[in-house]
Amino acid sequence: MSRNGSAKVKKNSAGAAVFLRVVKNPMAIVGIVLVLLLCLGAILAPLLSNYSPSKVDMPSAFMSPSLKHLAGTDDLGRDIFTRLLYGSKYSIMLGVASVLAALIIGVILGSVSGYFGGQVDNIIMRILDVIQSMPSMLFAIIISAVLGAGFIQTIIALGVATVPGMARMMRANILSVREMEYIEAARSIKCSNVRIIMKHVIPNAMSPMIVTTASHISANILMATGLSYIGLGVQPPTPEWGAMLTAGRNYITTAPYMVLFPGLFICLFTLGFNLFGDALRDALDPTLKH
Amino acid sequence: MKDKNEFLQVKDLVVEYTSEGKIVHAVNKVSFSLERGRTIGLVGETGAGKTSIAKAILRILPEPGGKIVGGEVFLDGEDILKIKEKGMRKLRGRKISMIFQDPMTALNPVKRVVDQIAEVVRTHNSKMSAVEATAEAIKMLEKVGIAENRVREYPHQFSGGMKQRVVIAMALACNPDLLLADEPTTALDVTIQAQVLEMINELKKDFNTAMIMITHDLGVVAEVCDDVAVVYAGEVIEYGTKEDVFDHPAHPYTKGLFGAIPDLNSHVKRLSPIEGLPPDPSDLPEGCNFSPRCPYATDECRRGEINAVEAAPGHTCRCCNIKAQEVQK
Amino acid sequence: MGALLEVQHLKKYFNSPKGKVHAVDDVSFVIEQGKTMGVVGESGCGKSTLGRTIIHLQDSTDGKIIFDGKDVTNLDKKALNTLRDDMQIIFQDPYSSLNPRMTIRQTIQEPLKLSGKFEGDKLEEETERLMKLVGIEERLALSYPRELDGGRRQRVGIARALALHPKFIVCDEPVSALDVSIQAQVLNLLMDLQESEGLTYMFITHDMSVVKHISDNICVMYLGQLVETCESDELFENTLHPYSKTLLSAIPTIDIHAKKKRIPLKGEIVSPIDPKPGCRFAARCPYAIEGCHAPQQLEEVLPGHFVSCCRVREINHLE
Repeated sequence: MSRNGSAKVKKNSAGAAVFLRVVKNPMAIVGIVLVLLLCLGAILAPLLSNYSPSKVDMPSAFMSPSLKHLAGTDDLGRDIFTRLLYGSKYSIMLGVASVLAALIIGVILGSVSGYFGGQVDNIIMRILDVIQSMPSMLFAIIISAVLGAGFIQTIIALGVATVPGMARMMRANILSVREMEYIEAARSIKCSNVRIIMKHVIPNAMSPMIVTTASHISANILMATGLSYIGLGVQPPTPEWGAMLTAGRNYITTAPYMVLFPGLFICLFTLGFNLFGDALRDALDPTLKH
Repeated sequence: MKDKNEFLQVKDLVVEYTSEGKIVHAVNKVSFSLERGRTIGLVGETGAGKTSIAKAILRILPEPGGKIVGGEVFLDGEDILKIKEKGMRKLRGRKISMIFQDPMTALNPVKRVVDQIAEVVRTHNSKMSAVEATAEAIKMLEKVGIAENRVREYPHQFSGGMKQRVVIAMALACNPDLLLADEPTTALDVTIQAQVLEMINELKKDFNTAMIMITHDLGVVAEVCDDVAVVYAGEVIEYGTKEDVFDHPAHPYTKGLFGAIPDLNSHVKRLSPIEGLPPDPSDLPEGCNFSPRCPYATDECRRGEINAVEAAPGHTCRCCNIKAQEVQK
Repeated sequence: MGALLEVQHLKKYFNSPKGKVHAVDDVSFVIEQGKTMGVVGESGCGKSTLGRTIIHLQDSTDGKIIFDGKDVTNLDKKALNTLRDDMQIIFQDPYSSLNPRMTIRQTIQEPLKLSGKFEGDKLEEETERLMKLVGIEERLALSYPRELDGGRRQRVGIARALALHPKFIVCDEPVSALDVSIQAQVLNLLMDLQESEGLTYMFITHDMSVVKHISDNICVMYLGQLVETCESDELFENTLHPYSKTLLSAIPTIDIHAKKKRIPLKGEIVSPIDPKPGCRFAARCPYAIEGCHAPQQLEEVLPGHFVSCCRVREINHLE
């Protein structure tokens, strides 16, 4: 019917458009590079370093940073750089696993709450209110204290503390999507409730969730290091960044590099994820407006 | 149309936007003029560039992205595109005011209506005392039909029509010489629209204001405008008095618009729509922008620049084929 | 031809924190098979709620809906699913009526798949037929809604509604979000489809010229009440209710030489929350008297011309 080309079929999908916009943002590149470098470091740790992360070597304790030991050695003579590389694995896993778990539970709770409303919504939201009424750090401390310290326990503690925020956000998204006319259209062509939630509601409520996920990962990594800093998270000799900070605290005047380098890694990694998350949000925004 | 002593003269105005590396040609060499006390209607479809013309005159194009690339806008003989931003700020509100489609963008939700208008009055007349300004504001609100017992309410207590009237009162409070109205009645119901249009007509007479009315509704143009500029793909494709354009539409697009509207007074069984879509403003066709949709288009239309020709004295039309159309009829 | 849809004393109230919103209050009318009933009124008059209640997207509070000779007011899930095959809706906003994450083809195929009647080649064939029927180019099948203009999106919505071969379609302001040149394309399409598919429409709009163009009969609504209903031409030639008169006089026409006499309206629309009995237009009506505050009856004042106003004969010098 029309001869002009203004309605050209664009071959790239929404995902490709978002990807292009992310790649064009220099801050996003910085973030992605930081995150990738640390991930690579975690995977390739055995190749990048000849030292063992946990073997005690008293004679070489407290060596200042040099070419041999890039970040010096700690009180037990272990190479700090090696420990940081190995440690990034734990930090990444803690952050990612706890956020993913919280995302899945949060999406389900938020969807049910938002779509059905009424009493179901009330019950779910009040329970989440209770959790959210405490600072999430404090809440994670309580759970760790109850469950005991350890890797899995830390994931659970962080995950549970993250669920309310996720569920609340999902619920808000669902509430706005639920009002769209295509939901009514779906009902008029005999879609079941399950199908409407799965095909029409959740996919359209997810984009903001992706952004929160990225920024929650960095927050949870910070929280994980915080937990192990006060001795509740992952236990020594596991080379976890927070635990390394704690260990270095005693020698802060004589061997400041023991605190400096773990601190630096924590900063870089959270910075990386935050930059990436922000870029993702900016890239998704234009499509969200429609 | 006359020259020199026109109050507002827009000459070859060009506005471009850059968005994701593409240049969007929003306004392409638009020219028109306006006398005091008259109203020109800028009519066109969504995305035709009507609002960009108004925003360019007020110099409030979105930044970054929007840019006036060329042209001149003479207000009272002075080219306001050359004034510094500071001087422009004085001009806005004092000499030029704008009414937007959504009244809530112009109203402060946590301030009483009368105080908002009094504030505008005082910023443009600093010698006035607060009491005098309030009295002036109440007078303005009465003019737009809002009773004194309601002026101390907040915007959210007003209906859509009342809010739009408050915005109009606010725009008129500083007694502007030029009023830009961007779809001021589009969001309103017809009965309220009728009230607002009537009020605009009366106020125009009282204040002798020159007005630019931006709308997609030819009915609204018929009600309030004296002159009409039909905008298509960033160009004024037809320009003349309301009588010229409504009684003797010359451009195929204008004719198409009239054919596409269901008319209350006629009994056609089928409408004659304009086939196709407006062109992508970042990828305009060669030659006449309307040529891909035009039933009379020839090869001549698809190359070079199409100049405006006079269909009648003072009635111009950007079409190289007016004569040919007559023959085809 | 007989009546396809009959609505009797239909009511739809919503609960709100401030009280009961009387969105649709005692509305009765009949739509003949193959005809178009236009429903006009200003925002908040309940015209959209009326349409959605009739096709069971919302439950009715009271009254009767009779479709194709059967009482369909209260239905169980199975009966409702059967009814959905016959009653469909086209929405106003082509931006929010299509799922942004589904391609055009997926959107049109969804009702076909759900019906269980189409699979494999038959499904593709039917999808192609529907796209051709509403005039969407095949190359757009894999596009997403945001890549299409408003007119084409609206065509997709129409194709989705037609997929199950309904008898009755509620068109809820289907052209008010479109530019005039596109609006004419979609109106023509709707009229062509009515003829070829034998459809019956309920056409909801606030645009008087559009409703006159497309409708055989018209209902005028004001704040949930039906104030006047008759044949389309009759309404425009012989307007009886004071509100209809005001509404018609307020339309800006493109005829610049017409001498218009506008009937001014005082005041603003009153709240539909727990309204007082009687005519809701009385507060703004120039003819209002004491008797207007008693409940009004919809009366056949002239043959086929129903008005709900106790002073209608007096005002219009009838009898």
